Amino acid sequence: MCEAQSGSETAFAMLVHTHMRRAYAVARAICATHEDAEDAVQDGFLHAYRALERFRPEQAFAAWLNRIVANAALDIGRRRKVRDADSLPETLSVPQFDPSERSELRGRLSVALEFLPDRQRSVLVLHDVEGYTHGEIGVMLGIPEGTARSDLHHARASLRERLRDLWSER
Amino acid sequence: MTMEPRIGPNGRDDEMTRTLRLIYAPPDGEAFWEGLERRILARVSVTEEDLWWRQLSRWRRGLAIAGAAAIVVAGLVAQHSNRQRSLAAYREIESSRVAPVQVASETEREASRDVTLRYVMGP
Repeated sequence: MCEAQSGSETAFAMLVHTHMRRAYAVARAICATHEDAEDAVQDGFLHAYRALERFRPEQAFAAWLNRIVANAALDIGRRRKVRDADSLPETLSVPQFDPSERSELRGRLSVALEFLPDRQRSVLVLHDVEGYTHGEIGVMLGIPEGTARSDLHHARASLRERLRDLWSER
Repeated sequence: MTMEPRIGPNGRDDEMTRTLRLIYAPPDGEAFWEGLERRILARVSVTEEDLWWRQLSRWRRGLAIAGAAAIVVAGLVAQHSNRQRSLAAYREIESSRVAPVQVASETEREASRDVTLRYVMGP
């Protein structure tokens, strides 16, 4: 870490190698697409590289980096929203279940996730898929822990409601 | 420790979580990670701009202190020269004010002496 801070590219490359998978997971939880998540990871590492001198060794590097990557992902999401609003179609299309999906649950869940507000979806994925705590999610997304908890509750309730018929069929 | 309930009714939780993991899984294969690592390092590789930026950043604290010191010194010099100028102006006024006052009072004195003389010498 100290070597990376003193400008060693090799040391920074080691940091990238060690942390990029977790960084991608964080970005993917926040971004709508895999491509946006990749961009967010690159932006995040670039910002981290430029801010390395401000990193204090007593902090956890992973948590510090995740916060930066999450911010980069949120920025990309905001920019995409502005772009999408500029090119809004006359009729809004509702995401449809793609029959080519491998399983019905996966297809239905993908559609249901698209109906969730962005932040609720991010909180759900960060908690249920990536295993972060409410506190960690709050720090990453810049929201109070209680808000993360409430977002998770609403996201689950919304998914349960949309997938209710699936549960009753089985 | 209490576990928070996962999505769906009992027995469905693991299936739902597994499906979520499938949806959010990164692309398979080491090639993807190697490519991503290369792209990240290419973006942060040292360019001329970065060198300039990093050097500036390294000297930032020193530059800030030097700038602050320069501002303080400039302020003191300006204050001192202002005081000197005021003092010089005051002295100039003081020195130029003596003669007219004397002249005026002398003129006054002469005038009153003339009046007295005229009174004494008068009819």
